[in-house]
Amino acid sequence: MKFSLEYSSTAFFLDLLALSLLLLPIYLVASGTRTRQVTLTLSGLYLLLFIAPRLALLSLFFWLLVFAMQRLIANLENKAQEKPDISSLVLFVFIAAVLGTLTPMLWWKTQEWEFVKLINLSGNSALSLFSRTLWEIDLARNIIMPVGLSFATFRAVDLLVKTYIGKFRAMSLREVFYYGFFPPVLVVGPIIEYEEIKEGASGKLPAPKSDDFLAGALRTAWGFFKVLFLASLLQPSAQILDTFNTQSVSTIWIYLFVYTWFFYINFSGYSDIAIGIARLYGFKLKENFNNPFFARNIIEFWSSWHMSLYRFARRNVFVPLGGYRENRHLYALAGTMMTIALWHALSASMVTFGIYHTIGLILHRQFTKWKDRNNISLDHPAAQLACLLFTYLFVMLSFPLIVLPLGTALEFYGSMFGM
Amino acid sequence: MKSVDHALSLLGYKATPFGLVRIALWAFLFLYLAGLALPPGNRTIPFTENVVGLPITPLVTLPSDPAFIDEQALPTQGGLKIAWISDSSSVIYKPGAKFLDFSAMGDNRLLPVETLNQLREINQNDIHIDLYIRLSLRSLESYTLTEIALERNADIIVLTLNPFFVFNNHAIFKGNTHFARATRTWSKNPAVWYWLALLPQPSDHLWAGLGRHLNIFARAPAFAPDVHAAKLSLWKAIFPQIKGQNTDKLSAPPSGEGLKENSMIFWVTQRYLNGDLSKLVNDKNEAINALWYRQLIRLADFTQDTISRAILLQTLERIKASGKKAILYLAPVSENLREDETAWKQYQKIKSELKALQQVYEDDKVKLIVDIPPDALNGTVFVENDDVHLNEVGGLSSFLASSIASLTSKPEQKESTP
Amino acid sequence: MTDAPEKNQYDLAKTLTIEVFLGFSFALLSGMAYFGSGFDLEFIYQGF
Repeated sequence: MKFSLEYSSTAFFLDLLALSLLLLPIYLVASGTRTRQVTLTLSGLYLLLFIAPRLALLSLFFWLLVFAMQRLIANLENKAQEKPDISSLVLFVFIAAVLGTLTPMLWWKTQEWEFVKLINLSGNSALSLFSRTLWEIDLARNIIMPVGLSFATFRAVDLLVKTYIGKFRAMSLREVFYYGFFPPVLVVGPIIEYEEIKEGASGKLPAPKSDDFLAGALRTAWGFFKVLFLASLLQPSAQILDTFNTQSVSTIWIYLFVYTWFFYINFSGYSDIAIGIARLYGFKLKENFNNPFFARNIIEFWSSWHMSLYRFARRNVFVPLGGYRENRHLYALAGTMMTIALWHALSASMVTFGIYHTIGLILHRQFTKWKDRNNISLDHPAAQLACLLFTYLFVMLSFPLIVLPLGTALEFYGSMFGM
Repeated sequence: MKSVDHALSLLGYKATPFGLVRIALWAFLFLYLAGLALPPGNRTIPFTENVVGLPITPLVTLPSDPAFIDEQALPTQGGLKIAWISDSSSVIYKPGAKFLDFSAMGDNRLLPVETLNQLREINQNDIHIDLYIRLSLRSLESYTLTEIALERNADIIVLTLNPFFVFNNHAIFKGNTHFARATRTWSKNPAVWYWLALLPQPSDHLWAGLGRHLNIFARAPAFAPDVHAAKLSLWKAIFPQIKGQNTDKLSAPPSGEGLKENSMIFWVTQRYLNGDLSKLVNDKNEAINALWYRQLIRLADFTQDTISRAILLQTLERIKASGKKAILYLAPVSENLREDETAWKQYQKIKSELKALQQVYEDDKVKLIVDIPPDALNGTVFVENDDVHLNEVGGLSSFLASSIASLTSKPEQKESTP
Repeated sequence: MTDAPEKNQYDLAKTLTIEVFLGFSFALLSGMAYFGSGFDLEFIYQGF
């Protein structure tokens, strides 16, 4: 069932920025790791209240479960070192935990409206057990989507995987909540790893320095400019998705071209804001975009587009599936692309998107082998430009699949080619 | 952006705390100067065309404008100043008119205008009405407007209590742009401190602060139509026009599918109707007002410390404390409401709750009118399939006019009585 | 420090210029973002 729930990520970031005027001084004065972690966690929770208190409560519940599972896996891992015979039990528990973590997201992506109903009704009812005031304020808020759930799910899975492979010991509730509610990445990512926000070698969280602050502020302002000014200028291009049936071929191509830029500027703008605000506090989060539309081949594209998702899939799907072994490569590649595709939505069009890009990556690999065998060089600027344009075209053609259901997307392609 | 960091370090610039302060001051200065260069602009104020030539000043801005009221409107001099705070129940709709069609709002009449005419007939001539009407005005916004009206020195406040919303915790406000203004207004009342922390968002506080000192933030919303037009003409100049689409709009209009996601409809259908929206809508998927209002009234919560009651009490308390005169009246509903027994019972309960408050708050300055006498509703016609919106005002306006007149003449009577 | 006074003055001017430029950039970016968002002209009334 198609539905649209209004939610503005811009409002969240403006809130976070406004709150930072109060938080940063506290954060600077209270230099202890615990205090800082708790401050950031509480801020994240507080900001969720403005989406709806029920979201804050459900997120707390979600991360409480992640905490329990993380602890269980870490403890079992410890025991397994003394008693290797329980290692299959550990594996079983780990797989169950990961599936459990993925369940809400999968539920949402398969039964959207049912899930939305469930979280709104159960979240609101549960609130009445805790606080009459929050319950009433919750009633006054809109019906919500599970804002940020896809990002939170992958952050949680990443934590569990790293615990299973022995990278993390059992973590405290404070640490898990701090990771779960780290404000800049709560609503539109990036999908950060715990390492990106944990204490440095000194055992302390990074202290915001003047140059961090300047860089963060510039980055944030730039992000807002991209989202609110540039992207809003290009937004009318989205009209093509509803009206392509009646447009000329050239109009469809032009609008789709602009639409890809709208999509990119909007999404990367949000990442800029998230990374920028984190930087105000001294955190250097990893990049999420690196000029993807100037990639010269499809591998370059995928390692510069929504990089945090790509890194997640590489760590947790490509590598475990044996992507670096010749005989497993294809298999791992397909798994990786499908993970990336289906994370967006469990739909036929996203499956097609995944297959399309998998084929693209395979063809690129075959082409590279053939090129190397025949000593063909593409270093000439004209060749580089051709590669760039070809890659962009390849990516642009996959965009209708991200935003349209498969049937409509196929009609869209028909219209693009005058059929 | 990494290259910007890089460029700065190449230039040998090293940020220092004082340097940051200086940069912030420069930014503030430039924004301040830009604000000076920016003319005030014309805020879009709904209902302006309904009151042309009358001593009535509409003040409430579009719901998208965080200013909430037009502060450029000068306070009136002399005469009796009435602040009329109300919602769509004060609009007298032309038969067949759409409730939310702002472009045709001039075709409808307004209850305050009719009341003003009645007041003139009973020789109350030197009157000015500050009009605080917004469609879908909810109790929290009424409270804010009451504070603003008191600030603007109204002599009498006329405030509508909408029976379907007055005890409804699910609908204490509509949209959230009003909070930027509320932030400033509420801070005068220490009793509502926790609203300040939980209802306006941090960005509303920021807006309230910035808007006060930097014109550019306060004035920009008045330019929203121009900004839209500029964007649109830029788009049209560069890109080929799309066929068959309303090109005057930049983004696609909201789909009519959204009904089930409307939070109140959601709670109503999930709680009382097993999730079945079809019981509230016609075959075009439009909500039938009567049907859904009758469900809505079931949400009224009469528990003692609910937020809706707190809002009502604060409104009354603040009026009392100001020593101003006020008429708070429960908007009349159609007798057709009796068709739904549960809804009718709820309505009676709402009345008895308000009557209890009447005992506490009513005096010679403040009137809480719960029962409008039946003969005052002679000739009052409600919109078809609707229990609260009006097509014909009937005797309601003269009833309100005489209530206002009796309130204003009281002190004089006292003076003339030995 | 034994820097020549001209160098100090040059450094000061450079710092000041960069800071004015940065201040201007912030004002421009935030002003354009705020102004350019155009707000929601059409407030979406869902229900009444």
